[in-house]
Amino acid sequence: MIKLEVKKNAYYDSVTLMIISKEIKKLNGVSEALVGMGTDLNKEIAQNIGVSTPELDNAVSVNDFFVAVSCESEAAFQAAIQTVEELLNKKSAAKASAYQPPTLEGALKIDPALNMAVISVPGKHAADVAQSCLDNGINVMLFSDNVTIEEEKALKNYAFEHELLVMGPDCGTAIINHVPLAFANVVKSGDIGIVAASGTGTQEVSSIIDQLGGGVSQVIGTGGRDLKKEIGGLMMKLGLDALRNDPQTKVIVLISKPPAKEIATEMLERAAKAGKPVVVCFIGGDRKEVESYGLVAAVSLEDAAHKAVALSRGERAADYTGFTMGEQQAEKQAKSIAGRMAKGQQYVRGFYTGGTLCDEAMKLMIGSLGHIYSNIPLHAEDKLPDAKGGKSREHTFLDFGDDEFTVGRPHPMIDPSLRAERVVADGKDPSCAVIMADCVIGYGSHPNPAEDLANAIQTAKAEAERAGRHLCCVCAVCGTEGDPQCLSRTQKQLEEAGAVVLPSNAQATRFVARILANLRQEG
Amino acid sequence: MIATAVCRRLLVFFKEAPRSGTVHSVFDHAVNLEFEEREGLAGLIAKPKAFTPYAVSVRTEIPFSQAGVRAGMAAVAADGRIIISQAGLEIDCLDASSVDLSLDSISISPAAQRSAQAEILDWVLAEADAGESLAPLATGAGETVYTRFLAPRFSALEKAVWAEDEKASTEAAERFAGCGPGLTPSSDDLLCGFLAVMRLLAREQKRENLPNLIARTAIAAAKKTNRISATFLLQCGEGLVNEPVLDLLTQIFQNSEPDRIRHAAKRVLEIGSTSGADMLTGIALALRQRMGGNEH
Repeated sequence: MIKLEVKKNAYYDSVTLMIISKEIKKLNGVSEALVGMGTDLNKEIAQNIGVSTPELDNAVSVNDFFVAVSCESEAAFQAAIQTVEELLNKKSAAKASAYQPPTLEGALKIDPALNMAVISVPGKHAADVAQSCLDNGINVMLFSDNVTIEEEKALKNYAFEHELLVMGPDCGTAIINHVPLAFANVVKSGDIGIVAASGTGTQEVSSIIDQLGGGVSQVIGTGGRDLKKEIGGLMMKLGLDALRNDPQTKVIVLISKPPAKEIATEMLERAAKAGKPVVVCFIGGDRKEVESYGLVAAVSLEDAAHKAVALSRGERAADYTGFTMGEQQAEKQAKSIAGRMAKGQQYVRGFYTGGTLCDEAMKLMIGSLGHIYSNIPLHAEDKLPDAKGGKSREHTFLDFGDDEFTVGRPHPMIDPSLRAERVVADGKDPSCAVIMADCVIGYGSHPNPAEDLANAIQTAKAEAERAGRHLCCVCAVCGTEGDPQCLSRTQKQLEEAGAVVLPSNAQATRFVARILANLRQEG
Repeated sequence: MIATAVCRRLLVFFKEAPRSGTVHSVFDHAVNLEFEEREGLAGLIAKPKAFTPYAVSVRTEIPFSQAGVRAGMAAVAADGRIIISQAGLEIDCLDASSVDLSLDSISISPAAQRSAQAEILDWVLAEADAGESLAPLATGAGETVYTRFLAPRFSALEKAVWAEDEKASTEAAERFAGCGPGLTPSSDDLLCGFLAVMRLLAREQKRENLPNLIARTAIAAAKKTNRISATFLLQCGEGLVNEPVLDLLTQIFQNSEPDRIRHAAKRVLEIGSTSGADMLTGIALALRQRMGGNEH
């Protein structure tokens, strides 16, 4: 008997069609089969090999996929059709597990109870999508950027009134109920809650908490503009309140660049009423003001993590400004490195994929250097013109995640190749003494961000060596042992390339400051 | 998503005016888009799929089929961007390099032993596992239900094209297109390879009427096959081919070393299931310039 199966306006890739064709012909009870698109000539072939039917001739078009089978019985045909479906569904089964509903309505149909949405759509559509989520009582993590501040304000006002979170826009990091969202690290569960207006700052603090044996309850991102006057820190307030009311949270950490004065005051007053220890890391902010509210001020991201862990253990929160390797060893090593450098080598170049880490390093180092030129300068007069295409100037720090570098490219935490090129280029500068770099691992980051960097470091160091100079490369890896890329494996990769790897961005910065101090003494 | 390359012709089409269209079909590494003003489809292509005419090459870690793109969704091309808003997809083409996939971009070196070059392709086809492709038409090894069916039809087509007989060519193309397994039936792929070479031979041999005849032959063939395959035929009629085929034809018509031709041919072979082998077959057959005679 001749039987026919037709799928109207169905397009399958050629490999799938070929596999179907081969597999059907192998089946018991099938003597001939033809699989293809319903073109005139394929119909003619079907006639030639004896698998044509009136339906194939009359009702199948060039855009239809057909399976024509010459078989012994209805059962054999059913077996053939089952094989076709299995082979077609083999691909869609793989897809189904990663099914991403194209609309919010579709997602709600699958799970009406969902209460958290991660939104990553073009900026101009993002506010509408976020508002739809809020209208459905869904908290939002807004990964998208290019959302206007007016849209952000409207969304956050609505969310604040309805006690819903709008984390973002341009929010890269959050861990909600132990689920890491976007760029986040594999961090142990614990009793430290974080509210932060900084992506890599949050990753640095949460990763060090994990390294110190602590854990986090919730990590709530707010987006970088939340503490601006226009927004008024609405999500920082809501996040703070949420952590205050969360029985799992024993210690709260607030992370942000120093906010506007009135916002800072409002925030610190609120934090002082939390009824729990609150560590405040306003990177480079006024320590005394924080402490005047009875709160714990952190001098670096690393210090914030140390203090939070100490407080969660009921210990005293002392400043951490030292080195894991010890003060003496750090000084000895910095002196030895400086001693190997050639005359004229005097400047540091900091090439960062994490904006907050770059900002922190500049703030920790600026005191001893006077000027640091950058695309995100601490002082307007130190703005480096054409940071991407131009050359570095004296002490230069670059945030490769800034807009200038990411137009038409993925974020450097996903594609670090541009930074690697810059490491090699600046390594050739005879005045360059030290190259500093971060390496951020975890979910969302490049599967092996150290690879490009290690190759670049190796090349830059070898070229400097050939030119009679000793180039020092200092790195800090932001991440944990549990991350897919693994902290120790990443550190080892960089060390094997000749980098000096420190356990935190703050330690790396202090170490570089010591090298430069030794160079100044020798010079 | 970031576009890394855009076909120059598509760029021109997009620059003329903002375009509205729909998603025609979605595969793991390709999305076809249809716009009212164009008969053929435009494509979004991701590696490892070869770059094709009227396409945008996109860098993405996620297969299109898993990125929420579905047939029937609205697509807009404006201001250097392609937007499929229902899927939350925006492709920025502003910094993508413009790629010329035109056969006219190939500079032809003085005529060489084209049949010797065809033999290189025969060897590549013979060495490969060309499955159910039409390779036996070029290599003479083995025979399938398709090659048996198509061999005389191809001879008729070849003869008509060389004779510059438009009526016979278009009729022969209609009797040849849309035959074989696969999404793009094998005979269509063969025809693309054959017509592309014929266009270059026309330039080499200063046969000025041939390009027009080739275009009409391609249009005739396109009417007998499905929309996706027809798109490639129409592009071929316009003198546009995919990147690996363009590279191979460049090596051939610039008389490159055999190893380079072999290497380029192997890249073509990797296209699709049998599409690459079928295109290579068409290229080899055209290079032989049998004019309808059969050496095998």
